[in-house]
Amino acid sequence: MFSMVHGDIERNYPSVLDHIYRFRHSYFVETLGWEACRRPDNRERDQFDGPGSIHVVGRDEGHIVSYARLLPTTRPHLLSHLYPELMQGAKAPTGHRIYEWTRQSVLPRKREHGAANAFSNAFMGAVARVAEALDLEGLLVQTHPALVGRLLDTGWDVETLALPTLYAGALLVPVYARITARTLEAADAAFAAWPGSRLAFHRPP
Amino acid sequence: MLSGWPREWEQRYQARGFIHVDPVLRHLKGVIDPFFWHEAATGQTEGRVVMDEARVFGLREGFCVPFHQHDGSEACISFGGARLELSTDEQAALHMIAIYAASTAKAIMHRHAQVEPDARTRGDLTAREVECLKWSAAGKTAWDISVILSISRRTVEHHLANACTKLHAVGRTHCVAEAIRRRIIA
Repeated sequence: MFSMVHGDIERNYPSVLDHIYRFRHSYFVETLGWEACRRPDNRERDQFDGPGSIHVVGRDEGHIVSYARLLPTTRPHLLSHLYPELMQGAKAPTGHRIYEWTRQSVLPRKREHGAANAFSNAFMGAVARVAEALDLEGLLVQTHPALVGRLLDTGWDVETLALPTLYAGALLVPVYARITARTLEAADAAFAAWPGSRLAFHRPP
Repeated sequence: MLSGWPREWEQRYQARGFIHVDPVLRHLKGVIDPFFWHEAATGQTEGRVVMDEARVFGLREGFCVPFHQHDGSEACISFGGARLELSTDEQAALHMIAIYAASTAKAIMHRHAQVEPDARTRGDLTAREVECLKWSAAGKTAWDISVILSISRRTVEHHLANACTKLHAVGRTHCVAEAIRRRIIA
C-alpha cells in the first residue's frame, strides 16, 4: 500500500509519474489553494522534479491517497533555491546522505477522525523506512512549527536550523530531522496500528 | 497541569475552577499560532476574573503556545510574568522551546503510562519486601529486622534494596515514604 518510486521514472514509469503529478495538482492547488503551482494540464510539477527525486506513495484501492517527495540536497532543492531566506543567514546541512522532505500530503478523508490519524502516522512511518532503506542520515524539512512536535513525537532527532518566520502568510521553520532507532521503532508501531501497512520498493528495470 | 506558577495562584486557579472560564484556554481552541494573553482576553467578560486575579499574583502578561493533539484535545504552554516584552525573534524562540518541551513532557507521560497501572502503584513488591519495609517504617534497622524475621541481615538489605528499585526510590527513607504514599504499608 506504500511504495517508493525512484530512478528515471519519467522514462520507466510514465503513467505512475502522471498519476503523481495529477494527485499533487489536485491536493496542493485545488485543495490547499497553492495558486502559483496551478498548471493548465492539471499536473503539478516544478523545477526540482527530475530523475533524482524519490517519491513515496500511499495507495488505497489503486488510488493515490498520500504522497511525499524526497529531493537530493546535493542539487538545487527548495531550501537552497526557493526560499533560502528561511535560513536567515545560517547554513543548512547538505550531502549525499541528506535529502529534503517536500510535498507531504495525506488526503483529508484519510485524516478526518481519530482512527484516520493511524493512516497518517503509518505514512510518516513509510517515509522514515524509505529514508532508512536509502541509508540516509536525515531529512531537511520546512514546515509549520506545530508539525515539528509530530516529528519529535515519532522519534526524529530534530534540529531547528533557524527561527520560524512568516512565509506566504504562514509560519515556516527549517529543521534537520535525523533518523534514530526511535524513529524506526515509531515507524514499526505506526505500521502495526494500521493493518495491511507494508512498503514496496519499485526500481527501474 | 505542570507549572512553575506561584503555588497559591495554582491552588486558587484549581479551587475556583478557572480552567472552565480561562480566556486563554478558550482562545487556544481556535488558533494554531502562539498569542499573548491580552489578545485572548479581549471581548471575553466571563473570564475577566481570571486575568484580574492572575495580575494580583504577578502574572500580568503571558505568551501562550497552543497544541492541538491528535485525539482532538488541546494543550498549551504559557510563559507569564509581571512584564513580558518579546521581540519577534524571542517569540519565535519561545515557540520552538515550547514545542520541544511539550514533546518531552508527552514522552515522559507515555513512559509512565506504559508501566502497568497496578504494578506502578503497588510496585509489585513481594510479601517479604513489604514486611521489611513495615519494620523499617517502625524505625528498625536492618540488623533489628534480621533478628525479628530470623533471616540474615544481608537478606534484609537485599529485600529493602529490591523494594527501593521497584518503587524508584533513591534511598531507604524515600522508599518508606513511597510505600506509605502508595498505601502499600500503613
